[in-house]
Amino acid sequence: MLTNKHKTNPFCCRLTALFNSSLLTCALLSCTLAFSSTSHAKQECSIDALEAMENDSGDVRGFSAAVCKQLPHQEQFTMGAYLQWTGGSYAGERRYTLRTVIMDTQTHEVIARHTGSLYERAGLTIVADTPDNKDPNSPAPLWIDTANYKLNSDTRALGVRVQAQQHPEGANEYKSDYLNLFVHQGRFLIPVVEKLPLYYWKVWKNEPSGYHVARTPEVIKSETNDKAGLTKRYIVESGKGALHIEPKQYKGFADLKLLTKTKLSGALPKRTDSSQSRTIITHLRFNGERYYILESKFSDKRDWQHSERWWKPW
Amino acid sequence: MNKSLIVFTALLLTTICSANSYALGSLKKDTPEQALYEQQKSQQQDCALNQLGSVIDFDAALLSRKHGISSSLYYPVCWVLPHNKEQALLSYFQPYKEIEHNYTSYLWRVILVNRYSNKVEARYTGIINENSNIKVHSDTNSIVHREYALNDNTPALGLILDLVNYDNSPQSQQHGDYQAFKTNRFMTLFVQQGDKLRPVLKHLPLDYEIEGTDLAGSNGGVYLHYGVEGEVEVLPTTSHGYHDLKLITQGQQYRTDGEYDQIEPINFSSELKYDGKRYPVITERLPSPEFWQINQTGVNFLSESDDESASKIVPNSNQPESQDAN
Repeated sequence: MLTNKHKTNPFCCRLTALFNSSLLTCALLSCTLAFSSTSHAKQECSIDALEAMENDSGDVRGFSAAVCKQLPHQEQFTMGAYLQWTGGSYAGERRYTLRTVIMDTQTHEVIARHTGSLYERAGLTIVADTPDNKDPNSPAPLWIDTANYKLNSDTRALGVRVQAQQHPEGANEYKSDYLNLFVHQGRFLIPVVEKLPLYYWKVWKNEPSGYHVARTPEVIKSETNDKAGLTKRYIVESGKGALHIEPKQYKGFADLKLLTKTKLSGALPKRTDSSQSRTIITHLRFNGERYYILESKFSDKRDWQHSERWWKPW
Repeated sequence: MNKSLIVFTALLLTTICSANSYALGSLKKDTPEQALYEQQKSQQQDCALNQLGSVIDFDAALLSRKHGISSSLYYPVCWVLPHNKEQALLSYFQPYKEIEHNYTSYLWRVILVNRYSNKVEARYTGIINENSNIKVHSDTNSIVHREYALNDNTPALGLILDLVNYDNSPQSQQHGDYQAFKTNRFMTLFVQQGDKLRPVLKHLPLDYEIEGTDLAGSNGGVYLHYGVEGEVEVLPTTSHGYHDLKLITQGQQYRTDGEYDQIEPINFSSELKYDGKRYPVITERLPSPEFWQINQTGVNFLSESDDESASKIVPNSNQPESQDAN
């Protein structure tokens, strides 16, 4: 069932024990958590699938990205997703149509579809898939996530993830790796989770550690231009989230729990302790139409969006 | 007696017409308008050749039965291939269904026909949906009278769809500025693979137009207009077995602040590389990324922007990931 090639993550089993979840959760966790842009096979579309999706779109604009994957639990179906540019000229301000389809694997007939939109913004800049973009660090803009998102005994949700490509200029905080979850019903793909960010990155501004260094013009210039320098001078918190299926159901679908394990890096003092990583929990609940955030520690005013550090001072 | 005369005249006509199409195919066009006119005239002539017209009728009847639609067909074009007079490329539109807001969805049919057996040897069916930006009209469909040799054994055949495609929605609403992007002509290149015509280059825009205002200008704002038109050339280099292509566009930029006008010639080009299935067409990066950097710095920015665009693409998002792995 594990469809992504990935590293086994010891964190997975620790958490499983911690939250007393089933084996399924462990599988899910490692699936989503250990997702890495370099460790997966490309989800290429066959030329027939590509032509079927183009004709289903009916638009003359080319696809800026397209992915296809046969469903592991329903091999008669292939899922496809593509981005079509619809406007906006500057990178970071462009608009795209994001269409997700279910095709017959044999005939490539499109049997279900959903059309959504995607506006670029800080942390979400689409870098199109072309042979010119050979940067191995640049993940494919789209990724079909067929982990076992089993919302109830009959319903397995299908995921499409949108990968951010750039660290936004000058931003102190951004989220990326957006997850969409769909439920396939007849001719429709119904979105139940939309644009849930799984990746989190934040600069905790503090006294720059290089504060006492003589601030020559060279130093100031490197500070303003060098993004890597930012992480040398400040403490950066970053982490990936993994979605868990909870046993409790509401309006027919299971509650979801997003665990974001973050870690500090950057200008840390030499003396370190265990408080430099944490797990942020976000609860999501189905309201009959879609999932909403029931509770999120990201918005906890006590230790978040607050000037005080949550880690122990040194 | 009469009969043989008719046959003779028909034969003579055939020879003249195909000689004409051959000449056109190998000639460099003079002006776009003239070339288009000649091409359309020639395509109409080619459809009248032998029984190509009835081949189209027959194919349209089959297609309409398959899809359960009316057999009416529009905008047929035909071209007898100059290197192989046995074959002809045919294309036409067929109304497929009504879609919302009274727009029509069309089947775009492209077939390669053996002129002696009148058999369809390879086929492609695409779907073109009309919408507020895309309108199919009588000059929509045309064949490029030229073969593109993608390698020694692979000739590609081109069609251009002229769709009135305009986007007058504001592209950027910052500071009340206005920008609109338009493109009308889309080229598709087909290669024969068995009984299929495969589009290896699909709907490459050949003309690009941006107009916009920049209200932050010193004299209370400027109006800018960029327009380029181009064509596709075959390069000697190859990727995945097919020659790289180059989209070469030329045009001018116009800029005015109400008092001073500036007109400068501009040109952009992009290389297109085959990825094993397609030559990817990423409209938002064509005719070149610099085209999209229109701003008030205006005329001279093109020569200065090269370095900037390269350094902007450095992704940093992976750095925290590698730290995660520790």
